[in-house]
Amino acid sequence: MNLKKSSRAIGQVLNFISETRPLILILIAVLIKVSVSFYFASLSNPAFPEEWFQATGDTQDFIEPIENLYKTGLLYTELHNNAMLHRMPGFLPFYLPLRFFLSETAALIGIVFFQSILSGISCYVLALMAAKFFSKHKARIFSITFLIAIVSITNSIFDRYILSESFSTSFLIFSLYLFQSALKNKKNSLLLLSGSFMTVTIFLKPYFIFIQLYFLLFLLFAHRKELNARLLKNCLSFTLITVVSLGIWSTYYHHLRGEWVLLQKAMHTRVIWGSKMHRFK
Amino acid sequence: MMKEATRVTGGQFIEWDPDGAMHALVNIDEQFKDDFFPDAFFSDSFSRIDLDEIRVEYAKMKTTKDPKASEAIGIQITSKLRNAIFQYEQNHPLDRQILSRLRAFKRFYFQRAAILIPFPKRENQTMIQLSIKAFYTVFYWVIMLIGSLGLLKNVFLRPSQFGYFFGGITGYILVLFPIVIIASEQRYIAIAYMMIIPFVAQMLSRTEPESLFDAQAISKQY
Repeated sequence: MNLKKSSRAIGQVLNFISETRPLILILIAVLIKVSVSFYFASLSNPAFPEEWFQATGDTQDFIEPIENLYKTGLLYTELHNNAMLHRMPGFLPFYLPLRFFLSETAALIGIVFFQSILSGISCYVLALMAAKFFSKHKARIFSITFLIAIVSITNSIFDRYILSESFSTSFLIFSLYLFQSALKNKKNSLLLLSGSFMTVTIFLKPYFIFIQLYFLLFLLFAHRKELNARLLKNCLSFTLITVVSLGIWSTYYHHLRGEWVLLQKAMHTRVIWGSKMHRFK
Repeated sequence: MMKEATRVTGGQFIEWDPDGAMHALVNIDEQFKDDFFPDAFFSDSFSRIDLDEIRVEYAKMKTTKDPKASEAIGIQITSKLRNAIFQYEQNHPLDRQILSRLRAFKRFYFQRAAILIPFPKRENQTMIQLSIKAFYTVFYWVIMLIGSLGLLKNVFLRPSQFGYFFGGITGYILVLFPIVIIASEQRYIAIAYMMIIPFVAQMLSRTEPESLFDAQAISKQY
């Protein structure tokens, strides 16, 4: 009896969530993500605002070239170490505009804030995307996905770091949602937009170029019965922004460093795995 | 092949292990202080005497003010340690090629998800903080386990576009990092974790997905 009651109550809660206005759900998600980010930031370093965001070794690799661009007009100089040359300027479209109006610290806090907002929105978009695959129990799928996504910290823990995890997760979700909508509605403009979000993801995490190739195959598979000029147009729409952006980036890198690099310079540190630690006897 | 493809396209990868030799190279101070070293330093071609010599050289390097001399000592130390690693690799191909990857997968998949929550150290934690950490650790494992079952079901048992759509990304990350690159850092799994959530929702709802291109499904917009 109690089990029935509680399962009915859960069902009512899930229905209530799915029937709530999208704007309210997004606001709740954003509020949770922003609060978590800034609460964790305040716990780990209460010296606001100077060192509030979590700076790691990789943060400088992302930010310093953009700082350099802001100050000297060039992304890299001879002074930069090799590690920096391995990074694509994935933060450039977010950090540089902020930097024109804000100090370095304020711009970094702005990035953390922006990451948290996008993280919240992406929870809603992910739930919407999952629900679109189902005709039965759409409300349940939507609500469970949304609830787990906003409660989880595995992703939101990175919102307060200036690392690529938070932005790349959010932009990948946006890209996939637009891709899914484009397949359903057969709109090239959505594919173009999806491709542009995928490009941002690739600039943040270069190995995601294989994900774009994977979804290109997905697109071909989806329209395998209609191999024609329209399909070619679809594929072009999905990849156009990526190809153009990578072309500009490679040319710029060649202009600066004198070598052609498609994404970023490969860096591979070879090590041996250890099963456990020992002490010499 | 995947690794080579990643390299060719400029992928950045570091094989990393807290118990591995690279960790020892980077955190050499800590290693000497704790007097614990990874497997790679225990072979016929490397002994305690070699390690003690390195320790002396390292102390010299830290006190030398001449940057060139310091760099020369650093290169000497690194090459000795790298040689030890190389010898170990030669002598333990199974560990190097297979067991290391399995250990990486285990570490990558069963992350201690709450480790990055910036609460005080265990001894100074309140009961609530401890409970939050414990909850998130278990919560992560439960989500990953249920989600993985859903993923396997939707990709192998009852293949669906839903499975390929979300499973492709999760599968790629779960193969690329621990198996190909032998990396287990927590942040790499964040995207895979998000992509596994819809599978959890499906498993809990006990419902089956429809084709993304099915006319009926298209007409029923959410």
